[in-house]
Amino acid sequence: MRIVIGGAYNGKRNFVAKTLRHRNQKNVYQYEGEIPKASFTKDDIVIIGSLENVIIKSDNLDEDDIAKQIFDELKELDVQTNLICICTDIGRGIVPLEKNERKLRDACGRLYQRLFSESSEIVRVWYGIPQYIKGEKWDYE
Amino acid sequence: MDRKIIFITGGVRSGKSAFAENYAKSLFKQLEKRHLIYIASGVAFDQEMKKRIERHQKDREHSEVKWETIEVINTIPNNLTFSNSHIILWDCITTWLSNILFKTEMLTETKRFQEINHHLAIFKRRLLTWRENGVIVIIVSNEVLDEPCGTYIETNLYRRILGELHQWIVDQCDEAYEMDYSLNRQWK
Repeated sequence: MRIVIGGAYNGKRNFVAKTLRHRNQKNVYQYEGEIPKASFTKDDIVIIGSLENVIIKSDNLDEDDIAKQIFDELKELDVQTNLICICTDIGRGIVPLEKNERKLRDACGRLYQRLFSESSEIVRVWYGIPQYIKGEKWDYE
Repeated sequence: MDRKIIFITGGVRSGKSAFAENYAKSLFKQLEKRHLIYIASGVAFDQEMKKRIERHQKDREHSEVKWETIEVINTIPNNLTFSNSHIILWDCITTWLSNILFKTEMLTETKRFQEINHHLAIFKRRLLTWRENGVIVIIVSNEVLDEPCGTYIETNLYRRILGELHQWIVDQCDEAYEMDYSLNRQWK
C-alpha cells in the first residue's frame, strides 16, 4: 500500500498521475469517496481519494471502529491489487466547533495512523513537490 | 543575474513575515540593490486590522534599511514596473486574494470567475515580467489548507483558488520555504 498525503489543493492527484504516466502504467482505476467492490489483480493500480467521505458514510460507529473497519477493507483490497490512498491532511486547523466535524477529523487521524504503519511508501506533497517520508522515491520526471 | 522569485508560506504567527523581511534585507545589502519595496495589501477595516498593519509598519520603520511601501489592495497598477535595482517583498498574497474575492462578490457567478481569473492572470504575468527584468520578488502567503473543508462555499472557493495559485507559484519559483514556528523547511 502506498500513501500520498498533503493539504487540500496541494496537487496530490496530479503528482500520482505524473508518476504513473512516467512509468507507463496501464490499468489505473481511480475512485473518490468509495471503496470499490469490484475485483482487481496485481497488474492493476487502484487509487482511492477523499477517504473522509468514506468515513462520513459510516458515522454510526465510534472513531476507532470506523477507522478499523475502513482500514480492514483497504487492506483486503491491497492484498489483491496495488492500492494508492490519497489522504487530505485535515488535522492541522482549529478544533471544529461542530461535534460531527470533530468526529470526522478524529476518525480520519485514527485511520491515517493505521494506514501509515501499514504502508510501504509514504509521500507528502506540498504544492506539487514530494517529500518522501517512508520508502523509495517515486520517479516522476 | 540575481533574478528570482522566492515563495514563503506558513501558518499564522509562524514567523514568516520576519523571515521574509530579514531575507529581503540581507539580499538588499549583499547585492547592493537601491530599492527595497514593500507591497502591502492589508485594508484597515477594523481596529484589530489597523493595529496589525501598524505593527508591521513599525517593524519596518525601526529597520536599519529604508523600505518604500506601495499599496496594492486589488488591481495591480499598470505603471508598477521594476528593474534590477529593486527587491520586492509582497506580504501577503492571501490578503490580496481576499480583496479580489471581496471586490467581485456582487457580480454574477460567470462574470465573477472571469474577473477573478483576469486578476490572477495579470498577477502571474507581472510576477514573471518582474523577474525577467532582473527583480528579486519575495512572495509571502498563508497555509490555510490543512484543515477540514468547511461548509461555506465562499471559504472553499477561496481555498481552491489559493491552493492552485500556490501550486503555480511553487512550480515557477526559484526558492520555496515553509515556515513552522520560526523553523523553515526549504522545499525548493
